[in-house]
Amino acid sequence: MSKETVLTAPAPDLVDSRVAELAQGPTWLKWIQIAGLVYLLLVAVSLIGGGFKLAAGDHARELFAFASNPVAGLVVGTVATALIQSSSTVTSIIVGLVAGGLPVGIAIPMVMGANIGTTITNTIVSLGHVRRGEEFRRAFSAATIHDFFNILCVLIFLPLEIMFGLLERLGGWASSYLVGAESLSMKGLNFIKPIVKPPVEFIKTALAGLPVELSGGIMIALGVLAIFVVITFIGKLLKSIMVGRAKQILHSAVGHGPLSGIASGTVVTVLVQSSSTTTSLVVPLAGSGVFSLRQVYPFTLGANIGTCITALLAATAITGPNAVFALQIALVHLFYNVLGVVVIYSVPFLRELPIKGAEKLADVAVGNKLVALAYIGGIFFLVPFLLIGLSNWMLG
Amino acid sequence: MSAKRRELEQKIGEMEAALAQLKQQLNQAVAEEQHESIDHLDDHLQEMDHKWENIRDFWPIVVQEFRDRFGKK
Repeated sequence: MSKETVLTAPAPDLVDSRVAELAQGPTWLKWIQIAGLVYLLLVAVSLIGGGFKLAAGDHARELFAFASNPVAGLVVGTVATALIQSSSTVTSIIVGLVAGGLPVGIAIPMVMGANIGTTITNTIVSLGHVRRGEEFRRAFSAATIHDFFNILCVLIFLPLEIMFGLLERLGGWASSYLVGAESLSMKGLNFIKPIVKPPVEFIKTALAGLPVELSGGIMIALGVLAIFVVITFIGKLLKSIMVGRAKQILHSAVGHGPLSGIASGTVVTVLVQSSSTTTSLVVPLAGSGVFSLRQVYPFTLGANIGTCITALLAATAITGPNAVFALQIALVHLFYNVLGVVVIYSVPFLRELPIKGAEKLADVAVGNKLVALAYIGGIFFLVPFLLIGLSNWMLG
Repeated sequence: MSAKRRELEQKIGEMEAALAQLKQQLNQAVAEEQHESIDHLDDHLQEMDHKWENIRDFWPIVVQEFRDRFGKK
């Protein structure tokens, strides 16, 4: 499967130049391109769902048995997102896999991990300030506050999930309500099926001569590649279109307190369809000292909520008996992020932890850049794998 | 009430009013700076596109620091 991905993946330079070409041109044309890309996203998610169903059959649970250890699922989500640098891509792929039969319970820690993995982007952006000591301290803390918040969120909600299945129950309840209700139902969104089905069926038919597992694998690879391309292009296009609107929203949030910060972070992320764009934006704003760490903190939390829109959009691509599960995992993503913000930000003690953690780390990192390197390598790659080993040892 | 006490109270009142005015001016100056910084959002967005260059800049600094700390003197 990875071979196909490698063979079909365009070179990064080629993607960048195509993206640059797309980001120019009249606005109406960009909107048409965005509509086309959204359509491609829906097809891609449906392709992954169909492919996974073909490849795994009734053995989806066995195929992901390694991730039945929640820590392993968390690590898969973290590392995959840190490598791809897009939580929207990873959560959309997860929605597709759930549609193909991956149990929601296994997917939930992956979604939590995607939240952690996505924070690597703004940390890398903050490294641009490394030559200017005080500026680097402010920029690095503005970037890592998001990491500390997301790690705290996992520390609170993963045990609750393991013990009580809190998010799975909440998502299950809400998705059955939405699928069952006539007014706002997935049945109501069934217009998606006729437009998404033809290309998926076309690809399925084209691969009909191959063994079922192989054609399923190829469909998954094509779907993953398409999601990656769509999210990259759509992000660039929306950035160029929405920068003016984002400015307006930020201007209106100045001096209006944390709730306004959370709301503006949410809306800006929905507009640009990328939490890492939103959280990276605040790095130079904080680095220059114009915005304080406490002022950018709510804005980054809003990014966590706003990013859920992509998985919800991806879930609308799924029809049939698994639609309810695809919607469930997308809603779990939303509930997890909303509850995380509500619980952590409303409890003063918890609210202060990410601030203190980010400040302390930045204080150390500004004097010793090796700490910054060890932090990035450790938190996104080394610690996750150590955690898998530790949890397997404890469980086994 | 003694004249001295009245005088001190009056001075405190004046200073508090001046302080409040200064705080208001500071808040206004901060907000102006923030609005100005937001106006440069396009530049900040471009910074994101060059994030890999950040690692390229960061790496020699880390290597140098590693040599300084652990290299043979």
